[in-house]
Amino acid sequence: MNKTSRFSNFLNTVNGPFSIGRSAVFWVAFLIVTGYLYFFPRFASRYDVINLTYFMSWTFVAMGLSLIWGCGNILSFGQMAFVGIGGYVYGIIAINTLDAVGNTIPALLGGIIIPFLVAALLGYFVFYGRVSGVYVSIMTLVFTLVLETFMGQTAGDKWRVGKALLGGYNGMTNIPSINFGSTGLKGASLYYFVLTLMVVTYLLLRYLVNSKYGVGLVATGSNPDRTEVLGYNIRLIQLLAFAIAGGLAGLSGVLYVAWGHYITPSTMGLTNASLPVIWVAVGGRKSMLAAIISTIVLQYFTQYLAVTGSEFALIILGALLLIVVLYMPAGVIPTLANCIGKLGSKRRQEALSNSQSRRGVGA
Amino acid sequence: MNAVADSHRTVNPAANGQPLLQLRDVTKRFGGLTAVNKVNLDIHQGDLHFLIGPNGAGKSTLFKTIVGYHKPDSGQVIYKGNDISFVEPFLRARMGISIKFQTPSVYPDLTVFQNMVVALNRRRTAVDNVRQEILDRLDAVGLHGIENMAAGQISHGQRQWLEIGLALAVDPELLLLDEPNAGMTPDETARTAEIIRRLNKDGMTIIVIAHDMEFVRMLEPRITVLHLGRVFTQGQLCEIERNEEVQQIYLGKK
Amino acid sequence: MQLFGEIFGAIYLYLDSMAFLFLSAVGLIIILGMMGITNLAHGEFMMLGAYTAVLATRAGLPFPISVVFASLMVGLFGMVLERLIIRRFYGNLLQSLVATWGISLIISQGMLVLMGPSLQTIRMPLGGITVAGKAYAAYRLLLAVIAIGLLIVMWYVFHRTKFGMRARGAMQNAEIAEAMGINTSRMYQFTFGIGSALAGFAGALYAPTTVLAPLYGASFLAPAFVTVVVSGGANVIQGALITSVLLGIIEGTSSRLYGTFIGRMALLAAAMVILRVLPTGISGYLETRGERAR
Repeated sequence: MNKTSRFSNFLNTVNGPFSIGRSAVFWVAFLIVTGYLYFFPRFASRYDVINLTYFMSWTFVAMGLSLIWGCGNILSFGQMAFVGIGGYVYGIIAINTLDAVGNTIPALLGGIIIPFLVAALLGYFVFYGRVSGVYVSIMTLVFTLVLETFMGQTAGDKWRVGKALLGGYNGMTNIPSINFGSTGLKGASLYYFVLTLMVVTYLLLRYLVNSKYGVGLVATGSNPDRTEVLGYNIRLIQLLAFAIAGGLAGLSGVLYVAWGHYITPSTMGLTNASLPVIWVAVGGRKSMLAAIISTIVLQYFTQYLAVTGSEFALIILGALLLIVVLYMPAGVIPTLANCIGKLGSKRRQEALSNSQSRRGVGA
Repeated sequence: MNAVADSHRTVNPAANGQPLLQLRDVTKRFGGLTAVNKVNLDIHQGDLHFLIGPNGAGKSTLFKTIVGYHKPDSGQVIYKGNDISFVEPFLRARMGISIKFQTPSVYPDLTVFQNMVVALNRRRTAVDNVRQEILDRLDAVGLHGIENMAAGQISHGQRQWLEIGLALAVDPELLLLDEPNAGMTPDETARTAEIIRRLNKDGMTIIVIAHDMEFVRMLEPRITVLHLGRVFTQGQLCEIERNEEVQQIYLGKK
Repeated sequence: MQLFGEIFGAIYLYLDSMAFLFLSAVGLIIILGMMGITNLAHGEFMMLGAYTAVLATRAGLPFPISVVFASLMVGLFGMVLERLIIRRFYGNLLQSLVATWGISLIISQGMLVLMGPSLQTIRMPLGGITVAGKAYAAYRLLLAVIAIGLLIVMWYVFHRTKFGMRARGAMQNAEIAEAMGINTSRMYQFTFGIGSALAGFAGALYAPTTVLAPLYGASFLAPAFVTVVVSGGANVIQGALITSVLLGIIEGTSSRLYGTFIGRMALLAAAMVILRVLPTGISGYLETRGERAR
C-alpha cells in the first residue's frame, strides 16, 4: 500500500460510520473552529488564553470517558483517580529529574503511562472478574475515594519520593511546567501545545472508534453476548478501552499540574469525581466532540458563576445532570444537532416536493 | 405446506470418519436442577441435525454449552478432535462455531448495515470492499433495502434473519440455530427453511432447535429428541413421528 | 486480667468494625440489594439524617428521639424523591446511577450553601467505660448492640410479616405481584422510604462520632457499597450479616496490626479478591451451594 492510499484509508476510517458528525458541513465547521482557536492568542487577552488552556486540559479525561461510556457502555466514576495519578506521577518525576535531564519528557510520559497501567490492572480485576454494569461504576468510585484517602494521609517528611513531598491534604507544590529542553511551556506556548494535543487526540480517537478495535468496543457496549460469539475477545477489548481512558485522564492530570504547579488529593474527591460524568453526560456521551465542547462550556459557566460570587455552581451542574438524564438521555448537543438536522431535511423535503408537484411528478 | 425434500443431505464427507462435534456425557447443573444430563451426540461434517423436545428439555442449555457460555459440570465437548469444554466462547467462535440465540440478539442501537460491519469486521482488510459484500449477504438472508434502519426497529422476523446473517458472516463451519423461525409467519418460516436448506447444501454443518414440527418437516433432517435433559431418542423424521413415546412427551402424558 | 483486657479490646474493635460496615450499608441493603437501585445519594441520605438529628438535639429534643425523628424525616424525603425522580429509572441501572449522582451533588452542595462547611456536632453520649485499665467509648458498644437489634428486626419484617413478604415478592417479580393484586407502585415507594429512613437512622447514629460536614456521607459510601456488593445474592439481609462479620474481621485485624488506614485498604483488597473469586458475591455463592446440597 502506498502512502497516499494509506492516508486516505486513515481519513476514511476517521470519518467511518461509528462516529457522529460525518458530513461536509461538519468538517467545514470543524476546520473553521480549529482555525479560530489557533488564531485566538493573537487577539485574546493573556488571561483568556491561560483560562482556555486550563479548560482544554480537561477535555482529555472527557474524551476518555466518552470512549468507554459512550462507545463501550462502561460508566466509570473513577476517571478523576487517574487524573490524580497522572498529576502526582508527573510531579514526582518532574521534580526529581528536571535538573538532571533538562526536560520533563519522562515526567510527561510517566504521567500518561502509569495511569494507563493502573487502569489496566483495575480493569483486569473488573472485566476478567466478570463484574458488569453498575458494579463496574461502583468499583471505580470506591477506587477514587480510597485513593483520595490514601493521598490525604501522606503528610509529613516520611512520604517523600526523592525530592518530591506528597504533602497529605495540602498536596504537592512547586511542580515544574512542561519543558522540552529550553524553557517551560507557559502562556501561549502551553496553549498551542494543549490545543494541538486536543485536536490530534480527537482525530486519533475517531480513528480508533472506527477501526477494527473500536467497532468491537461499540459492539461490546451494545451487546456483549453477541459480540463474544462473533469471535471478539470482549474482556480484552474492555480492558484496553479502560486503560486508554485511564491514560487520557492521566494526560489531563499532567496538563493540570503543569498549568497550576500543584495538586491536592481533593482532585480525586467525591465532588470532583462527578465533573467528568457531568461534562460528558450533558454534552452527549456518544460524541467525542460534544464531550469536548461541553467540557469547555460548562467550565466557563462554572467559573463565571464562581466569579460572580454565586455558590450555586455545583448545584446547578447537578440539576443540569438530572435534567439531561430525565429529558435528553442522548445529551444536549446531539439532541440539538438532531433538531437542526430534522429542520434542514424537512425544508429539503418540502423544496423537493414543491419542485416535484410543479413538474407534476407528485403522487 | 408441501415440503419436497430432494434429500440432498451430504453424508459425512470427512474421510477419517471423525465427527465434527462430539458431546460425551455432557452434564450441566444449575443449583439443584440438572438441565443437561449425560448427553451424547455426534455431529458429522455436512449434517443437518434437529434438536426437538418440550420446554425445559435442555436444548438451549446444550447450545450454550457448545458455544462456551456454560462450562459443563462433567463430560466433554469435542470439536474437530479437540476437547474444547473449557475454551473461552470467543475462541470457539474463531474455531468456526457460530450461533443464533433463541431470542434475537442483534445490536438494536446500530443500523442493519452497521450490525453486519461488526460481524465482518474481525477479518476485514480494507474498508471499501465491505459494502458490496454486506449488501450481498443481507440479500442472501432476505434482507433487502433496510440496511439503514436501526436493528431495534425492524420486524421480529427480520431481526431473526439479521441474526442469522450475523452468525453466517463469520463463515462458520458449525452453525447453531436456536428456534430460527420463532414468531415468524408461515411464509417467513418457509423462507427460513429455504435458507437453511441452501446453506446445508453448500456444505455447512447445521444444528437447529425447533418446536414447530411443520418447520421440521420442511427439511427432513436427522433428529435428536431431548427430554428432561437427556437424549430420549434419535432418528430420521419419519421414525420419530411414528414413535409413540415421543408423541406422549409432546402431549404431556409422560 | 491482662488477658481479659486484651480479649475485650479485640472484641470491641471487631464489633466496632462490623457495626460500622453493617450500619453504613443498612439503607443500601434495601435500596440496592432488594430494589436494585444503585443509590449514589446513599451517603447524602445519611448526611441528612445526621444533620437533622444534631439540629433537633440542639433544639432541645433528647438525642434518641432526635434519631428517630431524623430517620422519619429522611424516610419521608426518600418517598418524595422516589415519586418525583427515582421511579422513572426502574429497570435502567446506568441511568439511575447518573441520576442519583446528580441528586447527591445537589443535596451535598445545597447543604454547603445552607449550613456552611461544617456543623458543630453533639457530645458522644454515655461517656466511657474502663476495662482492665483501658478506656472504651460505651456509645460504640451501644452501636454494635443496635446493629444486631436492627438486623433481627429487619430480618423479621422482611421474612416473617405479610408486608415484608409482599415487598420482597414485588421486588423480585413486579408482574406476578401485580397480578396477585399487590399495588407494586406503592410498595416500591414505601420500600424506598424504608431504605432511606434506615440510611438516615444510621447517619444520625454516627453523628456524635465525628465532625459534621456536607461530605459527611462520603466516608460511608465506600464501605456501604462494598458490603452490599460483596454480599450479593437474593438473601440480602443474611448476606449483609455474613459480609459485615467477615469484612469486619479482616478490617479489624489489619487495623489492629497496622492502623486504621491499612485496615480500610485491606477491606477493599479483600472485597476485590472475593468478587474476583465469587462473582455472585458471598450470599450468591452460598445460595448455589445450598441448592446443590439439597
